Amino acid sequence: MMAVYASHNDLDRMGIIPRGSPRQSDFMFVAGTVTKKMSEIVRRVYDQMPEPRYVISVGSCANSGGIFNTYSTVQGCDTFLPIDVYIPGCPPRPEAFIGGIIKLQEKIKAEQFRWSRWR
Amino acid sequence: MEPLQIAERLKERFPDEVLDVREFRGQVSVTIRKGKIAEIGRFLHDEPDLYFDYLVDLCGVDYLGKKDLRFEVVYHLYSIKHRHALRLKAEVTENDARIDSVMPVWIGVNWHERECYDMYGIVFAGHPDLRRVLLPEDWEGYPLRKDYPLKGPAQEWSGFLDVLDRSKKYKQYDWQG
Repeated sequence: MMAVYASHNDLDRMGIIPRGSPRQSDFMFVAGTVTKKMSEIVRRVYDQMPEPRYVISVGSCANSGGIFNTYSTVQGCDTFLPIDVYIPGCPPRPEAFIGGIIKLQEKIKAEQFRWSRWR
Repeated sequence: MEPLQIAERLKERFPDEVLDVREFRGQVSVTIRKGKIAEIGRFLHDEPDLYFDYLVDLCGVDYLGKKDLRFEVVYHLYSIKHRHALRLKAEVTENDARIDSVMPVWIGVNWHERECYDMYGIVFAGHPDLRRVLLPEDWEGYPLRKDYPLKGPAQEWSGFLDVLDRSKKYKQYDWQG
């Protein structure tokens, strides 16, 4: 995530600019392990975003819980969030990251209604 | 000062409290009774040639099925001035899982003791604010105990159930395509 924003890969050139607040965002990344205690806050961040909104799940931990199958971890953030794109990897390569974002752009382009048919 | 000499000093001062002194690869561990832990801490901290001004770490250990006295609280001490270190191990029973807080001696131990309470349920008597640090406040059980199931108790934590319920409820407003 750090590398993909830095000069080599540079997400800014694709028009993906980090915002300071969920209220100004079009999509969000869920990056890293989601714990049960944190799940409420993740959900609240999602609820604060204006529609239309999209979610990208980044890495094994956010996708499925990854190697952590314990009392405190959520087994994939899709248990409580509608995820549009899953980026695999532990951690994902910057290329995979960009691939995931392009996938989301394709998905948005394919929308024919106000919301996507994909959901 | 050599760590074994420190252990000797401690044994002279508290002959009834010190149970065992062990050396392993130059590191000395002193097993003590839990009763006078605050006094022992005060002695190690204040004595000018010992001067353990830095409590590196405090952790709990669960010896379920391996020892009669189930828990242990481990204190890693270091003296920045003299550059020597010592490890204290205080034995705590399961029935009476409480030990005096060493907050009056090392104030920075506040969150360490709270974490130990959070994970093992060992009560630190005299601690000013003994709440859970990492887990939610209404969590049941102590997860680092050996008899705690790895995936948690059968009954899911209510806070996470709320989140699941809410997300299920909001699903009806999603565009189905």
